[in-house]
Parts: sequence; C-alpha cells; structure tokens
Amino acid sequence: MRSTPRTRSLGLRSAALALSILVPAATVPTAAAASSPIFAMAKKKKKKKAAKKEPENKLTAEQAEEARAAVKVRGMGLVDDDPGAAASLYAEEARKLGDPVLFIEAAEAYKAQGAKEREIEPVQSGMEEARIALDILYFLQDPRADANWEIVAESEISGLIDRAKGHLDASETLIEEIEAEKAPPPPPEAEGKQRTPAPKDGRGFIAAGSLLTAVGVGGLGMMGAGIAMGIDAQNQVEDPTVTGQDFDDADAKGKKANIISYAGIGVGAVGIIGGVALLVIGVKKRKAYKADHDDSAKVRVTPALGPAMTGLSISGRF
Amino acid sequence: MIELRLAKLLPALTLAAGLALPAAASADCDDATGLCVQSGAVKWKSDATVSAQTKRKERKLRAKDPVSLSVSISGEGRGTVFLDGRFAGVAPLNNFSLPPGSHEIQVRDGNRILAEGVLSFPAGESASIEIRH
Repeated sequence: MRSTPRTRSLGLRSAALALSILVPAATVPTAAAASSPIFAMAKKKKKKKAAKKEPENKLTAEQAEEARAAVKVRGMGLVDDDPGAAASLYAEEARKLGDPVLFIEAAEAYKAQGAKEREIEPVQSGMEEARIALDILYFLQDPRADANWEIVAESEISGLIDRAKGHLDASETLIEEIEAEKAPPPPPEAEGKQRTPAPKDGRGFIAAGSLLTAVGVGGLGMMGAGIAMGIDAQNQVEDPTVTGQDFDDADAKGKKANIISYAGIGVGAVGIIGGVALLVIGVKKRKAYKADHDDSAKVRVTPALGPAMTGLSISGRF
Repeated sequence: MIELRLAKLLPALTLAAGLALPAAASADCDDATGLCVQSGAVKWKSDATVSAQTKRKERKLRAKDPVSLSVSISGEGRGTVFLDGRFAGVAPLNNFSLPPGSHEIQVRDGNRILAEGVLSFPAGESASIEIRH
C-alpha cells in the first residue's frame, strides 16, 4: 500500500511530536531537567527503592519505648493497690512485645505481691520473668539478633542485666525470709538432742577412779581399824584376869575385828588397784585430749603421806 | 562441593576424635546431645545461618500458607526461643506461626545456648522440636 501525501504528512507530524517530547528531556541542562515531569518520576522511583530497603518490621528503640510507656502508664495505677494485677499486665504485654524491660517490671511487681502477701509463689513467678528478661538481654548481645529489632537501646543492655540479676538476688533473700517466718518452731525434744556431747577427755575415768580410790582408802582404813580392834581383843583374851562374860565379849570383839580387817583388805585392795588403774587411763586420755585441744583443765594425783594417814591426793578441774 | 565433602567428613572426624557430636540434622530422637526434630520433612542444621541468597530463593515459598513450630525442653529445663533474630516466646512454645522456608532458631537459658541453627520448613510442614540437655 502506498502512502498518500496526507498520510505521509501525518507520519512526519507524529515523529516530530515524539522528538519534541524526548529531546528536552535528554539534552536540556540539569536545572531544567530537575523540574521536568520525567525526571521527577525517576526520582520518585529512586525514593521508592530506598524505602523498600528499610524492612517493614523494623523496630527502633524509640518505638519500643513508646509502646512500653503506654503499658507502664496502665501498670503504675495498679502497682500499689494490686501488685499481682500489675504483674499480670506487665507479663502479658512483655510476651507480646518481647520487651525485657517489661519482663523486669513484671518481675518486680510479682515480688511486691509476694512481699505484701508473704507468699513465696509470686516471688518465684517474678524470678522466672527476670530470667526471661536476662535471656533476651543476652540474646541482644548475640550476633544472631536482628539488627532491625532494637527492643532496647544498646547502651541500656548492661544496666538492665544488672537490674535483673539484682532482682534475682533480692528475691532469693525474700524467699528465705518468708520461709523462716513460716517454718514451725523446733520441737522441745529436738532441743534436748542438740546438746553437745561431753568431750572425750577422760573426765569420766578420772571421776570414777577418784571415787574408787577413795573407797579403797576407806577399805584400808577399815582394815587398820579392824587390826587395831583385833589387837585390843587379843590382849583382853590373853589377859588371865579376864574371864567369864568379859572373855566371851573380847572373843566376839576379836572375831568382829577380824571380819572388819578382812573386809577392809578386800575393799581397800580392789578400790586402790581399780581406782589407780582408772586414774591412769583417765589422765592419759586427758593428756591426749589436751594435745588435740587447747584445754586448760588440769588433774594432779599426788601421794599423801602423814603420821595418821596414807593415800593419794587428787586435785583438778573437770 | 568442598563444603559438602567437609560436611560429610566432619562427623566422621569428630567421632574418630572421640568427641560428642553437636545437635545435627536428624529426624529421630536418638541424638541425646541436643535438638530433636519430630517431623520427617523439616530439616535441622545446627550452627548454620540463613544467607540472603537463600532468603531470595525462598521468596515464593514464604508467600505460601504459614506453618507452625512447637518447642519443648526435656526435664525441668527452661529456655527462651528466638526465631530469625527476634523473641518468639518461652518454652514450651506451642504452635508458633511462621512462613515456610528456612528460619534461624536459638534457644537459650541466660548465658547458656541450648540449641542454635536453622530449621527448614517445606510448604505445609509443621514441626515439634524437643531440646534435650
């Protein structure tokens, strides 16, 4: 098909129009291009690209602070009157936002509830909230944490870790206090059982040995008295002037004196031998105990001799 | 290719050295050292991260219906779950909704990391994981 002059002129006109639109955009100086609609469109596209680079779910510390402040306003009205309700509110919102500050707030409100009601359970719940806060705060220091999730400002992390740790320590102290308040008083029998046993320093042996030695000395005294009585009775019996009833009395007295003497010998021998043996054991034990412990107790066993007596003298502190 | 060979070689070397294996990709619960995925299709890779390239590749997958994740800790253990660098919840975490694809997970108890790695969810596959420690 051949083009007529009319159609040819139409084609030329269209080409000229197209050129007239394109040429200014491509060749005009920059200042003019900036105001042209085509350049403005290109700029908008660039802006859109830049906006796309910013993730939709980016959270800044300021945005997190705003969200937190709204929750805190609601919670502050509850903390004094009903710390348990405040704790529940903080804990619920903390889980929604993943906010460690709100977890710590929840922990502190639970602790306040426990202190008010003197109950351990809320304090333990608060400790778990503080542990979650610590998990998040440590995670924020991990390279796996999303840089676009700035739930708290980086400069605040270490301070919040200290706050959460301090809360855990204070909660443990509070739990100990509440447990001590709730613990039943110890039974009286238990108190008796708690008496400290006597130290094994030989004091029992020394006491028994002393007693037995004293008995032995008494036995020796009996023996002496019996011998004296026997000598007296013997003299009476051998006296030719003593006859009849007097003789019989002297004879009976002599027999009695013999019995006393024999008994005295037995008691004296057993007492002295046993007593001295026990004293020796006791003193050895005391010395060994003193070697292990710095004890000032002293025992002295010294022979006691005199015109009317023979024996051992024991002195000391038991 | 080299990475693949190393990945295969590492467990063998670790076993040969008499060391305990870290929580490795496993669909059964035999591995007592760490994380146990109770789903056949969801893959677990310990100590891994999700690269930007993987995220771009999985763009279409992520647009599909969300899947869910449940996390529990054996015994009386406790821990907080973080997914893709953010707080997800406190264990036991039940049916946490997330798009299919690869997700970085970390479970920690204070300063101690109980498990960390990448869970890869195919479309429509939810998972329950148990952390043993």
